Amino acid sequence: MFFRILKKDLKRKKTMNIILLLFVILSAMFVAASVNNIFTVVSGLDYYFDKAGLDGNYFVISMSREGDTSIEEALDKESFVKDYRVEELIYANSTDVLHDGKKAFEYQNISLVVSVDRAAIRYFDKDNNSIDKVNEGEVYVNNSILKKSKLSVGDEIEIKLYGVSVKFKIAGIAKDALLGSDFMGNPRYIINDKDYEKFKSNDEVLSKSFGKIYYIDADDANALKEMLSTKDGILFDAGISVIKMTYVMNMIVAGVLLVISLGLILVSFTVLRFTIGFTITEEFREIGVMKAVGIKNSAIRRLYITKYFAIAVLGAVIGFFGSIPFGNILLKSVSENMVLGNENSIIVGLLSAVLVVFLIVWFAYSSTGKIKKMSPIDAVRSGQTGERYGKKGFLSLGKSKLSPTGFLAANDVLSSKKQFGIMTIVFTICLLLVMILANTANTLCSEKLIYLFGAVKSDVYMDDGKRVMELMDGGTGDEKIYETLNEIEDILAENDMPGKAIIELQFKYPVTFNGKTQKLTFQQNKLTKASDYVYNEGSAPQNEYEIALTPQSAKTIGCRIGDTVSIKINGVEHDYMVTGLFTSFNQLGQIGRLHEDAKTDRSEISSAFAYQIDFDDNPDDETIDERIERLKVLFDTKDVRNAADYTNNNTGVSGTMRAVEYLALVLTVIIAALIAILMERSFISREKSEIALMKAVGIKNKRIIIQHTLRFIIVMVLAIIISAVLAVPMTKLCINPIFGIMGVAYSLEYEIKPLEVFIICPLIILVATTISAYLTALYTNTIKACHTADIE
Amino acid sequence: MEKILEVKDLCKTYVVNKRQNNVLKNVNFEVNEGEMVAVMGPSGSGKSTLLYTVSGMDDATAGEVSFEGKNIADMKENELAEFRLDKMGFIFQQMYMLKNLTVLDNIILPAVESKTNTLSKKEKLERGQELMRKLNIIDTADNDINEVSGGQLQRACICRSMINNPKMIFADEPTGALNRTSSDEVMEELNKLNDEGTTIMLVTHDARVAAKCSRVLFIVDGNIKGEFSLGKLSAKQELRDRERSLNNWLMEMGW
Repeated sequence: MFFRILKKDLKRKKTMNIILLLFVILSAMFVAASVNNIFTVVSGLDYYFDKAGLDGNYFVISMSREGDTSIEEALDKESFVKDYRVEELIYANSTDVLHDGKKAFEYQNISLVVSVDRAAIRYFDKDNNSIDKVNEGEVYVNNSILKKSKLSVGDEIEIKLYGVSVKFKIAGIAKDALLGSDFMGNPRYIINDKDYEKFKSNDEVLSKSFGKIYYIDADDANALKEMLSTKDGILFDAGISVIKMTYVMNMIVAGVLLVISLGLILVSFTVLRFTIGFTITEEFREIGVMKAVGIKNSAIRRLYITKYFAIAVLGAVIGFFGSIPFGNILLKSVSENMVLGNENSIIVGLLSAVLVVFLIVWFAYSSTGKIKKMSPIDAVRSGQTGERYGKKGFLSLGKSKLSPTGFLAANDVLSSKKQFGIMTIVFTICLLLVMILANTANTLCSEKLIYLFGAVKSDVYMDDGKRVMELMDGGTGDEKIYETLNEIEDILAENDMPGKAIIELQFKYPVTFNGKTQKLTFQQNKLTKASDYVYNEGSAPQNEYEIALTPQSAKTIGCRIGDTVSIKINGVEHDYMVTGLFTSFNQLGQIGRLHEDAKTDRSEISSAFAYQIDFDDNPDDETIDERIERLKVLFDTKDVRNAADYTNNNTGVSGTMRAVEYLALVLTVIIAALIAILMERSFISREKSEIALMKAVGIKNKRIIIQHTLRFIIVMVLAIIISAVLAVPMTKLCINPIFGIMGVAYSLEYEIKPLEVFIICPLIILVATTISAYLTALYTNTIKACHTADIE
Repeated sequence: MEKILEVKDLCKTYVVNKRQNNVLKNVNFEVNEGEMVAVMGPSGSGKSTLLYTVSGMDDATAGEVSFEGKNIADMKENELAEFRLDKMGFIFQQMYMLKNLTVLDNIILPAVESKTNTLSKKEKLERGQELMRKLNIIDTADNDINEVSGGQLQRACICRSMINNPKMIFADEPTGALNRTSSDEVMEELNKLNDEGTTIMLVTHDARVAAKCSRVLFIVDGNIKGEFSLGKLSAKQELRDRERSLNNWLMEMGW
């Protein structure tokens, strides 16, 4: 008998049961995929480093001659060094790697040619398989450079170093844990040992382009750092935390995925709770009838809980399997440069699906709980019998200025506040997800972040490697700097776009504080004022003996604002007062700023940034873009950008972020459309007799369809207004902590593009929801006026 | 009197699980303007189906239903909606109303929706209030539908059916869910409407209700088995006689 009732119920209320099943599938899919992603992303870097064998805690990249083992000897001697591994390499510039005689890839940093057989860590291919072997004549390259080029796997490149030329076929992409992040951007070419030997056998290569990477496991990183500051030839040294920091842009994307996942979980549970509550209300009439004929409460509850359990299990199983490809789609954008994985993904997914089953049964149990206290008649009346208790709407048809259809739609929304309120919340969450992502993506490629790269805003940023190299020719005196800048200004004037040129220079100086000496990179621009830059705490350096530091560099040195440190600049050691703290992505935050009058010398320049140009006639954006094209030709470089593009190029993640934004938009459109379809279908099912009654009194079907569609439009418009109000604070709430991880300890000013964020994105979702609701509402065509008297 | 409704060879068949159920079998009858016709018959005889089919609420399987000379079977969905809105009113056994509207809003909804009703919105509102006043339910105008009694609600349904001054009102057991007092009140209102010229066709089980009509059709197994003419109701005393004679006829018909 029990199962006969159940079977009949499943068959008779097919539509509602299918709707519930679909919601369960969606919920299980979202929850399983999202929880799995959260686990994967949170443990992402540790997992990746562990898998890559990057188990040291300090890394050194040196340029040295073959046979120079001074660093190894020092490491052997020190008791705080537990273990270390060495990987040899050959340096190559982007101009050394060719395709059809031209530069194969565009990148600014130096690249590394390594032999897979001498590797000290594991590299991975696109499928996350370890690259243990590379065939002769083949090469694996970083995805970051390959995707920016026109080349693809199977194409041929040539590496040409000091007369040694070897041709390679690109065998695939390589994921490099140490140097493969977007921020680090030092491409590696992983080749066969025999090919590697061809380069190494050349004396010039050995003397000018040979280097080593040390993977060191040390107990005392500070002591190690101090020891290394006495060694020559070290190009880069950093601790594991800094290396992790270089993945910060990837982690921003991962963090954003967390926000999406949490949003999806929230949407799932809200919709699920609502749907179960709603379908159980539908059951009350029958529950009342069963009570009236003497069936016990426990038996009635068992009947419904069994039904919901069956639906939950079926939905959760389908949802669990659906979560696997869905989760992979979400993670795809993050896993381009990283090996992300979760060894327990199946268990996590299964547990999430079980959680959904548990929640559904619990929702069903609590929803049917109140029937215990009800008389049969109470139970019947709690069903949708057309009766209600308490005034709901406050509009009056006779006094309303709205059309009858508009009035009915607005009145429905106002009369069923809980039902439409929950829908508004769900749509608001969906919209906020897209708005937050749009704000983040726009900020990451906006000029508002330019200060994080240690530059003031200029019209144009031009990377001219040749001129920069001329500055760093080892010569002394600043005249050369001004000469170069004047030369650029002359070219600009000759070409009818007069302007000023400036350049940010970097110097590496030993800083002594509390008896400890460490080398730190300082930035200086001789033609701007230190006060032109953004400081988050304290103030700008006011004279040549004042400096500002980042929080990271202040921490490394161990000083605070107001402390005096000793710096040896141009051979003269002097005391400098720390006056302020600022945020910078340069040198992974390990940087300071000198006052413009500080007596630096050209011979000490360690690197220089782009030449910045400010035109005298304050051109508009369009003119700037036009001039950028002319400058590319005049200075024979592709790397001429406006402020926004320069930021975008430096962050290197806005493309991925944009992809995530579009993914979220597509997801949101699908979710909003599905919710609209399922909700409208359940409304039709519940309001069948009312729809029939409206037809019976002569209201045309078209009007009923519009009324039903309008309800969704009203809800969506409400959601758009609420999400527009919340978009900026929510962006700060969700994204500031993610930027905080990368050292931006202070709230960012976000780039808000009102047209995109408040109009285009919401409009897309509104249109999708409206179309879905409208098409579903067409189902009302099947309801006849005579169905008024149909009571299930 | 002119014919307002003419039904010829009307058939209605339901197909459930591939099994045909012929509910109406070649039904033929006519209703003249100003008449008040009752349809009686045992349960399952097809009374309500007949009412739904001739009022355009449901499709006929075969046959012709002409309202003012126009076959409603030929009408498209929109035409049919306009027909329901402007030409006829329908009163259900249960007091069906839109749950999110007040009693008055439910009543004026067809008027506000109608394009042929040329009154202003304010006048439509006043007309609704006037009807409510006439049927003695004006106090419930701003109430939600759960705040009024069944009798009041049924009278509100009559007001709704009247709001656009229809030519004909169809009523499916309008007193079926009411107590005797409410039932008498509702029938009194229907009689008044009929006196004012509105044609009424109603389905009832109750001989007392049918006795207030001018003609009774008796339907058995989807066929009109007979009809009994009572003439216009004129005095209270006469009602008992009408009821008695109707009951006698019904007994003859096998009621």
